[in-house]
Amino acid sequence: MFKKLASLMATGALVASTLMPATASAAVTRSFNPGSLIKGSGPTVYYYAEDGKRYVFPNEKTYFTWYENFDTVIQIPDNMLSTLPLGKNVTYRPGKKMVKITTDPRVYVVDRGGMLRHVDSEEIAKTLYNINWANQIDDVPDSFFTNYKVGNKVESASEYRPADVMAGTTTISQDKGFDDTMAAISIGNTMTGFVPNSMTIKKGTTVTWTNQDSASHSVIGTGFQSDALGYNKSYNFKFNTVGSFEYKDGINPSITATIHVVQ
Amino acid sequence: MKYKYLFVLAAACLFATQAQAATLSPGDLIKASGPAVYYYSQEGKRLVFPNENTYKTWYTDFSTVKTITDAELAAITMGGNVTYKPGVRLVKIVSDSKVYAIAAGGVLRHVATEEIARNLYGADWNTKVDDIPVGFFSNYSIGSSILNSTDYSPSASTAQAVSIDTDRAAKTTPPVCTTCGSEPVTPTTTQETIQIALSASQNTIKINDVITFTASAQYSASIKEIRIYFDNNLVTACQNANVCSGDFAMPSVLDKETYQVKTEVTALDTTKETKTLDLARASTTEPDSEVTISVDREVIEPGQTTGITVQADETVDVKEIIIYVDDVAKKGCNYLGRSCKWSQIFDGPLGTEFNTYGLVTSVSGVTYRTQTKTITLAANSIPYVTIETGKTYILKGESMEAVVSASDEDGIQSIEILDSQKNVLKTCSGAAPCTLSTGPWVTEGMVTLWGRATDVPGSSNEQSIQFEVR
Repeated sequence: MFKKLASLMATGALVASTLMPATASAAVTRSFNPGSLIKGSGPTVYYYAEDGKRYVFPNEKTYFTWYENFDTVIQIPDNMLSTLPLGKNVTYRPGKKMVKITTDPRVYVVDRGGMLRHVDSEEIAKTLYNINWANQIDDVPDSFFTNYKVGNKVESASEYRPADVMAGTTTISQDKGFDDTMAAISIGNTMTGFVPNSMTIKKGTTVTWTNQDSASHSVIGTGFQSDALGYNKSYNFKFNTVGSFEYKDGINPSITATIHVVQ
Repeated sequence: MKYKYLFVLAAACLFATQAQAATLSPGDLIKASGPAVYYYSQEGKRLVFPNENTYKTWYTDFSTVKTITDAELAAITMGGNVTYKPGVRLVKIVSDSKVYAIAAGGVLRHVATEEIARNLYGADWNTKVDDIPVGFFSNYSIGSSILNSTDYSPSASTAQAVSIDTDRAAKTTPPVCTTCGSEPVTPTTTQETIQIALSASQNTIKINDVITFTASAQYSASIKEIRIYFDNNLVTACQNANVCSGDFAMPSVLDKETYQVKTEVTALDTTKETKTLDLARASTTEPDSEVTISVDREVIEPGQTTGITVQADETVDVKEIIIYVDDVAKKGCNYLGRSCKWSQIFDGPLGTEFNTYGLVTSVSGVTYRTQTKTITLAANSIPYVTIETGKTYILKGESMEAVVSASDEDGIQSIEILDSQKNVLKTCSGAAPCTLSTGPWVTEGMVTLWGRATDVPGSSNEQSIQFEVR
């Protein structure tokens, strides 16, 4: 077990290879949505968020605080994956477990946004996580401790109810402070095109396109049209009507993509 | 690739026999009974080396590591991860082909071309690239790209990074608590600032434009309100949302060079933050002499095709050329030389005008704009004319042959060849190419020749060519 953990620490990211059922890696798709779990041909799994970035699971333990298995992981083409900018690391799901680091005896509960709150006494820990609270503590590797912020201590059990905290943060997007009023699309080179190529959003969502390619691209659809976008330049449009919207790159018109807007 | 594992083992073997209490000073390397080695920072925190590669950019061995007790180590607050020492190595991440150099404060700068990498790190630069595990990528921030070799110096960057502390000081961090004495600094939510992104649907503004402004905020507490102002006029206010967007019509008189867009974000815990964005008034679009645009036929009939060519002279290190028709980008050419060509069908009622211009971006980031040409739809199109000379220059005393060709849907009545003062040198009737041997030329300098064609209904068009007499 130690050796396995060590190798996870070494890659610095969660790899799903040994646990992925063979069927899940069958189809490669160019269509995914904010909130999808995505991977390329390699084993690393990412969370695709509303800001268009892919968020890294630093290890398996972090992944399993959010998901029970890898059934919903979608495989996308490698060049699409590398077009998406990297976000920060995913932190523990609030309320699920307590954490500590190996070289410090302090025990923390996890609050929204990767906020660690020191549990002041064994008494409180017992109230929050029952008699076997000691089994509810995970060691966070030193090198991932920096992904967390340290907040105020939990001084009484009424300040923090694990069940409420968990119910209040059901998705990684919520934990990171995103909601479904925004979505983002990356524009890659002529091989990758728009990433994702097809996306489903709710009515009223503002979509932001950002050019991640060194060459210019633009976005032209019915009712919306951008200027030529240089590297790292963005354009956004709010979709207020239900329907499927096809759009293309005005500079390379063979690059097309679709946004499906639902109620 | 089990670096951490090896690193852990190596350190463990080295320190099994060393155990001595020590007084610590900032800059010391420390460890306790466990294998991990930390950097003891000026702020009195311990910094983590995420892997062996990171450690090796700063130190050659473990000989200066001091051992303290587990209790002493536990009392020292964790202060984040050490990043690569600037200038020593190049890095990339596994899933991405981009190679980065490291600048002060853990800033990654994309090395734009292989040639720059070779200039900076030698012919064997590709042996100096480390993969950063993707889970540690968030310890770094992305800076501007390195577009030429003078933009970055590995040795100067390394020299500047005297210690891990001085390197971290280059990071933009929130101010450190100075009144906290020896107590470990415990950041609270109030020290966190709201992260705001503010954007506009256009970078420049013209009168009566309707521009969409969008602000989005990220914060650990919920966002209570986002307000967006344009030039101190409220555009929109959104409650209980992370994203806010609103349209605003630009005034009919723009008397300022730049206009400010401002967003005010208030969180539930009453934390406030503002962000501003300056929008420039669209310039009167003075053309640059380095770039030119030519239109095959500026007057065509509805439904006909014409070509547009944008060209940059040899002083421009062209990165990209984009051709616009009525402000819509129609064609982009990347790294394909100095010219870019686009043809399309123009349709509409007689008299419709289309404006076309080109923007040329150089590798060093300068944008050049051509003059704007107008394509007009008329009942009778003007002929398509080309003039060619065999050479771009001749020697004094030599002659030059010029050929003018023309075509038109209505047939060509005549083709003429003219000198720079537009005096007719030769007239050929019919559509056959008209050829003239000019010269001999005895004066050095640039010579201009014109070709003119007239179609059967009587519309004419001309094109010029230049050559040099040396």
